[in-house]
Amino acid sequence: MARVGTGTIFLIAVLTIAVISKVCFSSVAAEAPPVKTIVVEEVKTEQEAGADRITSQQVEEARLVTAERIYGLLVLWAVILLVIVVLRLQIRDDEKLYKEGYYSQDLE
Amino acid sequence: MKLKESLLSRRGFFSGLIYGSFASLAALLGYPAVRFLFHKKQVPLPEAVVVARSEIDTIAPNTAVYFQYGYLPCILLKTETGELRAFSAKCTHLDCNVQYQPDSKQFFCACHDGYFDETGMNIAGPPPSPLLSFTIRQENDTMLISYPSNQEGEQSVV
Amino acid sequence: MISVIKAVDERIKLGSIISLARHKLVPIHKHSVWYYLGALLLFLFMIQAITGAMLLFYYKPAAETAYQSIAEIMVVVPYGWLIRSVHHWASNLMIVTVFIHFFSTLLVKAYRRPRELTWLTGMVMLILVLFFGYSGYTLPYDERAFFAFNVGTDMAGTIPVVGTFMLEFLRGGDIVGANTLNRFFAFHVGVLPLSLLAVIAVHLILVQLHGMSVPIAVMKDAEVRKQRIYGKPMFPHFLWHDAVNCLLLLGALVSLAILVPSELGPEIDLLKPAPVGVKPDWFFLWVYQILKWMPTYVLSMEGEVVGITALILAALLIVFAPFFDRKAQRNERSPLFTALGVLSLLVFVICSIIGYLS
Repeated sequence: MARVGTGTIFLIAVLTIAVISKVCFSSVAAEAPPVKTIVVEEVKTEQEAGADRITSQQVEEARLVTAERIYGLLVLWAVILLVIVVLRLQIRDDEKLYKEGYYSQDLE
Repeated sequence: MKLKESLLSRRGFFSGLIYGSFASLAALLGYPAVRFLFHKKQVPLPEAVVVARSEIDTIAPNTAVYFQYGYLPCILLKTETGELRAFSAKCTHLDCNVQYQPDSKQFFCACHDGYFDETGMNIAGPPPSPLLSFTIRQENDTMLISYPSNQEGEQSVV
Repeated sequence: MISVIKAVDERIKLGSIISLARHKLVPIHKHSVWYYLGALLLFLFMIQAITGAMLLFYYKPAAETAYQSIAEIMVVVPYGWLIRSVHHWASNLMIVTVFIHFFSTLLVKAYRRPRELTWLTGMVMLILVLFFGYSGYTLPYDERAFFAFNVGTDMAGTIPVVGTFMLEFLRGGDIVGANTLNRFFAFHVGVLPLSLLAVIAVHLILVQLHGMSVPIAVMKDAEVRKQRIYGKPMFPHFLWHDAVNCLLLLGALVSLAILVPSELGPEIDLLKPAPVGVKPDWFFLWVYQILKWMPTYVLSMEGEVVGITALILAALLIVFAPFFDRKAQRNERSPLFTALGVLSLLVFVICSIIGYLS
């Protein structure tokens, strides 16, 4: 019971301080003066005007498989196969060590 | 001279191979990722903007109005004598929008107390250079405001 | 180099973590190959998280801008087509792998005691991954996305009791519109990743606690032959095996992304009729086909409602299989549940194929 009472008093005290602080001490930067804007019209060349929207045809062109992309893919496969060969060499070495009992020993 | 024992152990050799090959794979995969992330979209500015005469006439002397030049916020000042001047509204210190104070006839930047005079010259506070000024030309019944090709753009008188 | 490792070890006790890992053994037997699927799934999830985060840099998740932002990714951003295609194909591969993983654990009864929780978390992840896939292909807000929104949320609406609430919650209102796109974006990028991450963590901890399950047939066989089941250390042997598999998967993924880049369908048009042959994405074709076969009315209830309820009941049977399969719990052969597992696999595959061809 005493804990409930203490808790309630604490809660009321915190809320009171919070409300008083907000009402009396909160500071907001002074409002900037009202802004008047005028409407202007942009002068654009023809190519600039049409360049905004991307068309389906452009998307289809971007999807084409080019020679450069195939070349990049082959390079990637070459590196991946290199890594796999190295890993399999490592696996072979580790298997040998396992048979010799290296991995069964407890580490310090 | 042949060494009795190799300087590099077999495990050391394999470890090196593994690090090296993973590093090359990371570089190969990282290149498109980096190009993707560091792409900068070019947003061009328009050649010029056109303001109608009627709009200009609504501006009282010794007041300034804002307008948009492409993505740049800009400010158009009509002096007491009726002369029109156009500047970029972005303070040259840290890009806050400036405001015109008719009493002191100055542009004031509230962020760090920067001041520019009527001609856009930085006179007090942190701004390191004058406001970017635009060229104004009159064509028939409209004003053409354009991005200056050189900084010392001419200002025409109304 | 040694001093660096010593310095790190002193601070994060790396040595004790490694010695813990070294004690973990993976059983080697004729069905060991299925153990590789977990690491593949984790790898695919990481790929999705990374490519997804990259796509977030340029995707604009509002109804007016979503489609154009994806077009921009495909055409303007360097390698944008590649990142998007990798993300798309990895999602397909992830769904395939998660179904293989699900069916393989179902058929070898890896759900039996003490792994029921592992199974349940796995089922939760299956549903999350399917929802990931569904919410993902609605984000371009193209024509197919619009119909996916309508049909998917309508189906959710047919669930008894909670249907209307689900429909309005998913749509962000009564109708499919800008709110729906925003909501699905929030699911796909916020709610689902965090949920999946949490469930993966629980699933992985449980797997480490219990070790790998051995199929009943293999256990019985070893008993009969009076042989111990041989195990290989997880670290480093199986780690290297996992790395090799993940690299092959990476190669396949990038090959698919380069040779068959993702499409971008026509832009959404709220007035256009549904095009002939509009279908959900492949992983929902089985549901689509089963519902197509339902008559309009079954005993005065709508065919849709009956179909969805039946599917939910069947799903619940599978989800709670550990608790129904008494024989497997006693580590005995359980042909009934094997047959049910094979039946569900056949239904999934055959209905998907028919749905695709029709």
